Amino acid sequence: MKKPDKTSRTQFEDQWQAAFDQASISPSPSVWNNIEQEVHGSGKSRKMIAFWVTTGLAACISILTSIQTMEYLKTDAPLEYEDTFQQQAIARHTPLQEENVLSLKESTFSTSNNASGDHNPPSQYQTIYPSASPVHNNVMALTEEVEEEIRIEKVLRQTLQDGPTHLAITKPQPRRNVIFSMPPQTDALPMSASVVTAQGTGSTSPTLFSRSLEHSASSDLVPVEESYFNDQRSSIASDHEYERSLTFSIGGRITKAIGKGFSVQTGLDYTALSYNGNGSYLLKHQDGSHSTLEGHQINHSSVASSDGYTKTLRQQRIAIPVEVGYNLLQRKRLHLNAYAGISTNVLLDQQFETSLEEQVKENPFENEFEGVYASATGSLELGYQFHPKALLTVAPYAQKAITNVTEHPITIEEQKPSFYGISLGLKILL
Amino acid sequence: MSEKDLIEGCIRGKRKAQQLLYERYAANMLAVAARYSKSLEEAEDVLQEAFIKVFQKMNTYEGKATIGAWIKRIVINTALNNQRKKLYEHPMEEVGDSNYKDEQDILLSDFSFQELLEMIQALPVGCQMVFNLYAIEGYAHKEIAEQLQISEGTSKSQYARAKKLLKAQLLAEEKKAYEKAG
Repeated sequence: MKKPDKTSRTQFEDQWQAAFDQASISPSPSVWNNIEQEVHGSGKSRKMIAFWVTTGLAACISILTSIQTMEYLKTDAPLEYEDTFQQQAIARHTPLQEENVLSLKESTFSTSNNASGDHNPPSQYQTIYPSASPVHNNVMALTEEVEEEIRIEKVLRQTLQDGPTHLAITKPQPRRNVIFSMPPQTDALPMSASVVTAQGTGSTSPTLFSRSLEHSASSDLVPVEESYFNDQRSSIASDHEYERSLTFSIGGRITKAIGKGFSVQTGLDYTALSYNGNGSYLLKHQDGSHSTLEGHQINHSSVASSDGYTKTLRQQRIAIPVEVGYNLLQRKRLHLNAYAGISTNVLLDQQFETSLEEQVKENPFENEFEGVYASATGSLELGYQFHPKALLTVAPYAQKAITNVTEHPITIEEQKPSFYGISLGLKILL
Repeated sequence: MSEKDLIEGCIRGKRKAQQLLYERYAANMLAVAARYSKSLEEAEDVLQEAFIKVFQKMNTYEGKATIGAWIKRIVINTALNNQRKKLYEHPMEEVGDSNYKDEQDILLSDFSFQELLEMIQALPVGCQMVFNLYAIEGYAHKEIAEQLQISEGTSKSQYARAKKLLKAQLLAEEKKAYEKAG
């Protein structure tokens, strides 16, 4: 420390210096007690660190456990049923015959109403799947469910004939079939037929079949799915995709410094998500009615198509992050911090807009895109300290889902997607 | 116990050594902290925070200055850090004439330590910091400017303002005492 030039100092300064030179004030005993407590282990800050770390870990574990439990409940948890005959005889397993029950030749496709009421599927079906695609996945899910229904019926029939059988049934997974979420363009099409087919509701027997073709003769669109319920038949070709706009989040954080530049924080973020989709489709429907002309049966059908339609899905996302941060830089009131952690995200309240306005009102899938997922998060935060205890922050962030986002539109193609955005917020320093 | 033993004991985290060091310096350091604070309670908070740092950082003490000077430096830095938070809300600016001179002599010996301390504590935060650093600690305005992240001109003008306010207080107190004496 340099002493100032003695000539610049006056008697005034010297007097003040002398007045306080050996000054002393006795501190209260509580000061030493507090120091001792802080320095020797049971200090407040150490308690706070332990509290934050424990709380953070507990929150992470409980969030992940809850999400995993929710996902487990949604998946194909095998359910074991034992029929009523089991008490009467020794259970025995009846192996199922491998039979490609879903194969259908083109010639049998336009089958008329089956008056006999026999809903057994024809044996000459065949299935041709398109290359792997979101639509393909949905077709696969649909096909598996139909196979399961048929298998169950076969086992039940065999049980009645042969005696008690141990029957394992796989609970069908709730389906989110993109193909059928697209409404037809014309009111002439009885969409209910295909919707019923897709949902499988009201079906009492295995008369539900589905197949996919590699292409449609009348359209360049791929893939094509055909589905039919008894003698009603729908075929649809579609091609569409979603793009996500850059998202902006607003939120708040409370942060506690834990020393050596590190901090822990939690808070709440609100994000308005927007997904813009566009595509084309062609839908052909036969309602089962037919007429006869010169001895030939003619099936009645209608066709609807749309080229270049648009759709926008708007959603809200609430996120609760738990993060650890490190201070990279601090200059006057500017702070630069890096954060990493996990976040619990809740997707809610979707609004669906499309150029196909009439049918959107009837869209039965309107409330499907909701869900909870966990993600790993990272952000680089620039903060301006406008108050000793508060900062305004802007932070580019990246998120990677670590649990499946099962009902999010973008996850039609990716189950654990990445998200990017910019977060604006208010931060309170503890 | 010698000062060296105290320091070594503190480095090893010995509770007894820490207590002895505290007892040796706490009173003087509280008087220093009080000059940079607005109340005794605030000063005690500064003292507590400063001594925690002293014990945590004792292994960084190199012995270049006396242990008393080293502790005092930590107390002043802690106090400045606390006051810096207030300065965020009311930043220091260049005020008035930085060449203020009043040649009227006032003898501080006529006043008690407590009276003088209260006069310093009554100064605006910026003036209080600059006055302490310049008049009592003996720092140059350039050094003060660096420490407080202000310009040298601001430091000078804040000091001139502090001096003016203190002299006004001193004269007022003198006048009161004169009137009382009749």
